[in-house]
Amino acid sequence: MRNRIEKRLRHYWHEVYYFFGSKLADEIAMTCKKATEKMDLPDDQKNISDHFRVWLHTSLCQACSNYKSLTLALRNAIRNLVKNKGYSPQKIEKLNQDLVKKFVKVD
Amino acid sequence: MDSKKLNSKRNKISTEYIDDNIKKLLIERNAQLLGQLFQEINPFLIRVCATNGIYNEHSEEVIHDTWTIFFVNIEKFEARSKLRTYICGILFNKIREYRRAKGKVFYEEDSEKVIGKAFSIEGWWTAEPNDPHKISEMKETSEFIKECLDGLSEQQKAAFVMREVEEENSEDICNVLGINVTNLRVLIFRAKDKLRQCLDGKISSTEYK
Repeated sequence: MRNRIEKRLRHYWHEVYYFFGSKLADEIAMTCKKATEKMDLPDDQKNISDHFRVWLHTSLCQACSNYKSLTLALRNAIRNLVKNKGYSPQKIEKLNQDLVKKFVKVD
Repeated sequence: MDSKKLNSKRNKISTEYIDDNIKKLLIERNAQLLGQLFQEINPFLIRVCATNGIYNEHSEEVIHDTWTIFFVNIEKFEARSKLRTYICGILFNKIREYRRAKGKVFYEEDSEKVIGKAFSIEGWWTAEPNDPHKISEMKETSEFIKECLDGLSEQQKAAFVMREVEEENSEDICNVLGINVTNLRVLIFRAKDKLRQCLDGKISSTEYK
């Protein structure tokens, strides 16, 4: 029961703010849709206020916090996947040499 | 351009916007510059091939074809994106051709409706994402991811890998894929959503075994 209430509170946190009619909440609150949109933007396209609002939203909203963790987990898993399937330095060197032979113009 | 001047640019030719001098050297197929460029870009191209399920001699074939197209079209290159991103765009076209030949390519309509469906009118999730801790914990994860990546359309995969894995600049990705920022957001969101659903399915079926 307590968990359910907590979850509900975490997910609907800004409705709670709105219920108390906080003017400040209007400025800092974000919907999940808006929060994920901001999360998907590269850091250089977000200002300090965006960072803060996303941080606040994900701190309180379990679903968006999961979305953020999912992005990081996928990024790391895919990086590990390609790292393990990577070429040895010797193999890369051979590929580079083959390409130099093929494309460099010899006068 | 003398080699001294080239060395001063030695740090990051592939990840910077090139000037006319570098372009001229590329057209002339300068050995020093090409050697540097292959060294900088090929490990990246190999990684992109791997995320597309192309390995070893197959990835070498695709990379050779990519560079061939690059040198055939170098005079048309307007330097609106970084060299690495531009070459990556060619690579994605080559990968698409390769997969089409293998009968693996498919397209999907990715419009803003996709994001609309994921959220209610008020902006809440319609189906909340679960805690992804299992993704990082399971030893089968990389196998699952390999399989799930195969389920993404070419554009979704390209957008996701370039933006989230290789952390390329959004503007460059849009130039290379010929899309706008909204499309890019839709493609990335859709890719994550499909990967999440696919992995959830695979993880729960493993747990029930």
